[in-house]
Amino acid sequence: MRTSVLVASVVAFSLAAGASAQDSERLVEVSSIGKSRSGSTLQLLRLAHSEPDALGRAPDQRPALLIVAGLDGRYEIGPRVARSLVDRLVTNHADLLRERTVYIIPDLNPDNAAFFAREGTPKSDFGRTIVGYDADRDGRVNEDPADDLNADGLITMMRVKHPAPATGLTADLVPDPDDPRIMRRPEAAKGEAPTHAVLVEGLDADGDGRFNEDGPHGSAGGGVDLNMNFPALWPEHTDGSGPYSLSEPESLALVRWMLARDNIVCVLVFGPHDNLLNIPEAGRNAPDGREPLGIESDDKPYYEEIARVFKDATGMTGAPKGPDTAGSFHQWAYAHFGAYAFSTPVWVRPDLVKPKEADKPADAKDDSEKPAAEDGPEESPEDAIRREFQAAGAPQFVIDFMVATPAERAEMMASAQDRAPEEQRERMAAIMALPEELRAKVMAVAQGQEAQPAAPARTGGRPQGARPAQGAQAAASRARESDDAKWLKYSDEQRNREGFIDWQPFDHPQLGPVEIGGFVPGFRANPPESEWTRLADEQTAFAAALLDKLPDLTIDIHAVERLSTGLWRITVRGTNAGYFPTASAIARKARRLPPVVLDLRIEPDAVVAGQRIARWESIDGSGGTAYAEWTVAAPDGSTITLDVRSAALGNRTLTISLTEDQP
Amino acid sequence: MTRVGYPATPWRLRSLCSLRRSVFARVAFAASALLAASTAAAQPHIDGRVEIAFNRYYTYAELEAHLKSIAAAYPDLVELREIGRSGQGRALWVAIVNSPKTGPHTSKPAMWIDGNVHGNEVQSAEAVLYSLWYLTKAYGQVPALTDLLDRCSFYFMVSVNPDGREYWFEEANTPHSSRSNQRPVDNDRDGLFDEDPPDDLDGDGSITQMWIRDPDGRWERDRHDPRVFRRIRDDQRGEWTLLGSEGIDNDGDGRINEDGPGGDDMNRNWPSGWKPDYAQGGAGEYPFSNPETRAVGEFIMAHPNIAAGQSYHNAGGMILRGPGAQFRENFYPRSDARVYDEIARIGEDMLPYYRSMIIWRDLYTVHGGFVNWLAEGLGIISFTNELWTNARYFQRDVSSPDDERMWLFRDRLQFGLTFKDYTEFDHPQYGTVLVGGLNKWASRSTPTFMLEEECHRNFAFTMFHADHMPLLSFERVETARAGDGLWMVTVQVRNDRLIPSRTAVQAQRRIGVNDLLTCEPTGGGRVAASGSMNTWRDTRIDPVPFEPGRVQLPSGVPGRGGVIHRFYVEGQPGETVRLRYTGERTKDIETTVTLGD
Repeated sequence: MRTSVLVASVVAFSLAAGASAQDSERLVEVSSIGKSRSGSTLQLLRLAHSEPDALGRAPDQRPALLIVAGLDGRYEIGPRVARSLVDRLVTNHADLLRERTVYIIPDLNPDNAAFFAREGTPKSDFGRTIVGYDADRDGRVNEDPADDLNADGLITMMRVKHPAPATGLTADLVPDPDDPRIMRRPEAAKGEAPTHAVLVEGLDADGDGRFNEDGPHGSAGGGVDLNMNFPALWPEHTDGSGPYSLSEPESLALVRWMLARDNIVCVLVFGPHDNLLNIPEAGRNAPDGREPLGIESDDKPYYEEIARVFKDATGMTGAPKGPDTAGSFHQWAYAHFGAYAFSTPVWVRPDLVKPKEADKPADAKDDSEKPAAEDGPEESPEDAIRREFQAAGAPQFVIDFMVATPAERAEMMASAQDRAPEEQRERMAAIMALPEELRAKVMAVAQGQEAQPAAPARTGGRPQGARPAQGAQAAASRARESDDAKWLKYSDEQRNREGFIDWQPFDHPQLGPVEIGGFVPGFRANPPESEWTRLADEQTAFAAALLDKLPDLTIDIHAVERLSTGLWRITVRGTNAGYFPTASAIARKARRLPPVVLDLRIEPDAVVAGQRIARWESIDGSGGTAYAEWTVAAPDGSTITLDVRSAALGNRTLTISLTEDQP
Repeated sequence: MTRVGYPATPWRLRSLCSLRRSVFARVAFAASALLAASTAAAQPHIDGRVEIAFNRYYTYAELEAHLKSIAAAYPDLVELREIGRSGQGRALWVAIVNSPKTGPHTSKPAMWIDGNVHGNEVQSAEAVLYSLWYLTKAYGQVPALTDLLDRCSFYFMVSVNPDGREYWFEEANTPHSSRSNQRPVDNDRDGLFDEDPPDDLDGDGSITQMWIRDPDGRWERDRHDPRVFRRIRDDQRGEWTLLGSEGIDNDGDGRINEDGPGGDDMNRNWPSGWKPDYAQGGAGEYPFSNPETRAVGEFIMAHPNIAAGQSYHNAGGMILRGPGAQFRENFYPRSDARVYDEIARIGEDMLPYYRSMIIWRDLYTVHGGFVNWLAEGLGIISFTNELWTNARYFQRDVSSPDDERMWLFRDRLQFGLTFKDYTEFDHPQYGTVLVGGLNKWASRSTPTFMLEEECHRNFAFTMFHADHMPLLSFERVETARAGDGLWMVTVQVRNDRLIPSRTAVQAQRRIGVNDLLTCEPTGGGRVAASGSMNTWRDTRIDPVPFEPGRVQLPSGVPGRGGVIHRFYVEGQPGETVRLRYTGERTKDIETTVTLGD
């Protein structure tokens, strides 16, 4: 599927950036992994020296790093940086591309970009695929998208003061007195009452009493979130997850292509999730008892080390964790495909980045290493709850409930009603047996759950975890500390107030007087142009560091010993000079690929000791070794062939001479 | 072979007279009238246009030939559609059975019936073929089935796994092998695929057992019956060791038969609750990763009118329903569970020695199973029947007969056809061994002479299941004056069957499109308000806040029950109002009323 036109364009791009045409031609191959729903090419760039390496391996047989961006169309910076890595890696890290390969899929969701590029399409926080989906199950598809009522080219939010009962809306927020641009939940205990409903800008186009509940830009439907469409913990029956996992041509093409690339050992995703500053929870499994919810315990030290490398490369001290990982690409790449999989939004708010040495005042106390309170990789609130409840001997179902997301809790509570009465009684007794303080916490969470508004489509809110809140809603009690407040501060002080559209009155044909305003779509996902170079350099450094850490297996004949005439002992050694083990904990668990297989080509009867076909499940990096030993009956002076099979690290053949002048 | 002729009985004539069909049918009718005089007295047996024996098994090619004959003999009723190709390129057939005079198949509630997703579970395909065969010949002859086929349609797929079936028939196997399809899988993780299959050393078409003489063996051979090996007591000296199933070490790794053809279990390859291979053996690479499962999945998703499902397997005499895993119990709300349990309870009576079971609780845990996808992903009331149970050998015991009685069955009822005598074989790894034992027909598959009954009873159970797909009618429609130019139109929609028009799991998980009840004045009037009522006596409504003339019913019409809705219509006396109830899994119904007292 090599596309010569595209090769030419990449070469031209590289030339413009100062690389030699010869290098690019040799190092970059452009092809595709398939087509999007609308038929656009899903581009694949392969960076590697094309001639066989020292072990005779072609590029697709060498340990590889895969970089994927653009699953979520809102994160435009992802594809931009992914593309700019091509030139930087080829120019500055060509040596790494001799025995390793980099695959880059810069934009997995080109239909989304094409949708917004159409004349007259307002900009919105909508990153899904472009496919109709009857989100409200009324037999009409995409009949009520969001609308750019004030014709400013943006879909923002509407706030409605004291909505009339006939609107179907309920006031549940108040403007924060400290910064009335920010809408937050009222504090009833301090005498506040809700005054406003907030919903996505638009009309109730189909007259069903709900606003923007079925169509692009709106509060539901209008496409599939590719990061909810992969089979790992796929969130079935959830808005945005698709009718079945891999229902989208884009996600299916990526999975099919990857399953034919057994050499991919590491994956880096540019998108809404961060698992580098927020290291995933280790050692906890889904209810089936096998599939990890985060990562395997034995992989955690490697994630911690890579996080350190990432922080060095980027200066990030914190990052929003992003939406739930259920159904996300990187969770699949880890838990099912068995690769080390990392994800970063590439750009975070500047207060989460450590200032460069040169920028710092000389006497400033260096506290920037301290992670931002709500984002940092210190003990997560979930871990704290787990520790506290475990210490009190709480049963697992209570702990699971306490650390669950609101959506999961709603599910648990709904399912609890279907349990047998005896079981319900037992569970209640277990809760009542908890220490009073913990019991109160459980009850508070359970009741808070019930009190939450049930119909997000009606208020214009979004399902938890599906997409970040679009409006200036803040659950934090003090606006100054909230995430929204920090974004506003950044917009006001560093971005000329361009990040937020101030609330402006608008006469809504159905709701009467409303105000329209809120964050500019994309403002919180994408940096200003002035940052592009810095971000590309950072991610190049990180990608190169990852590339350098891929496992690197050398195999040598360690010893050939003559025990007697025609009786020989052979020892073969494997050494991993890379950093990562030859197989991660998840790869060993997932068993998708065979381990390193050593197939001694000799009559089975001639093997006196040892397995004719031996296996190395995993060899640690940084010089870790493994041995295989056979005693064979074979004539002195004869030779035996050893076939080594490793999909990830390269097949090879060794010839063993049964003579004593071995090393 | 095609035959024409209906033995005449009064009720058959009546139903035939109501047929408005092709010339062919009329010729057939004339022929049957001529034959009538010579036909034996009325008997509960019907002849059809295609003769198929159900005391034997068929290869996939033979099954295909039968499908084509039935489709050719009943062109009005049957559309044979190729929905895709298997991994090895065999056509995947769905027979769409429908009576077009009552509307296209997609306009009616439909039942999906398949078999043989596990290649070795052979009689499940014959059970589907029998159902297609019987239903088509019964149409026009058996009023109960004629009525059923006039209001429902059926999708029959004899074999979801033709490659596995073909491998079971054509190659040596055990009763348990060839469950998967034939996609190569590296079962022993040595980087090679399917390199050490079983080997039919004695050439009898089955994979049997290998025994070796061994002074330390823990088995002895019966002196009177050399077919029988018996385990010795600890204080005795034995002379035989069981080596395992028939085969050699093809790849020289010291193990025998450890990497045979295939490996994916296609009944673990469906999207609902799917888990990867390490959490669910045989799961495949991802949901719908096999061409067979993808073809079936796409067909089913393109037919939202499917309201019932059956997927035949063997063995064990079970009527199985989901969930496959305990933590998915919440996909079976109580009102749905009641429907399952009521249908299965009656099934236990129709299918002697079969028991109604829940997969995870009574069998084992399954992730990504087919009926679990139907039930939990699509909200379709679905069962898997495990055909044949050992209790049926003598039709007395509830459990399995003992060894002595099994030999009686094999010797005296099957005349020894399911056993291969032990013969000596010079094995490349073990030297002289004995090869023989029970062959692939010895268990799991229904003994051929009992096959027709097994097929018929299961067919009858699925027709009972299908008959309980929703059947809606306007039970009562009334108008009354509510004010000046304002009228109350009150309508009761009834479902006369067990399965609701939308299952509770559909309502809870928002699966599929909501049912719609619309009220359209045709003379310029308008629906001012509307709402539901619990009983006809209610004087107040529970109002619908928006679109009062287009009412969405996420829960549809419950099984054996109804919904009552009242519309307040502004209009002139005498104006006609059209009421329509539409749903994905019901036949749409429509009626009109005139505004007035």
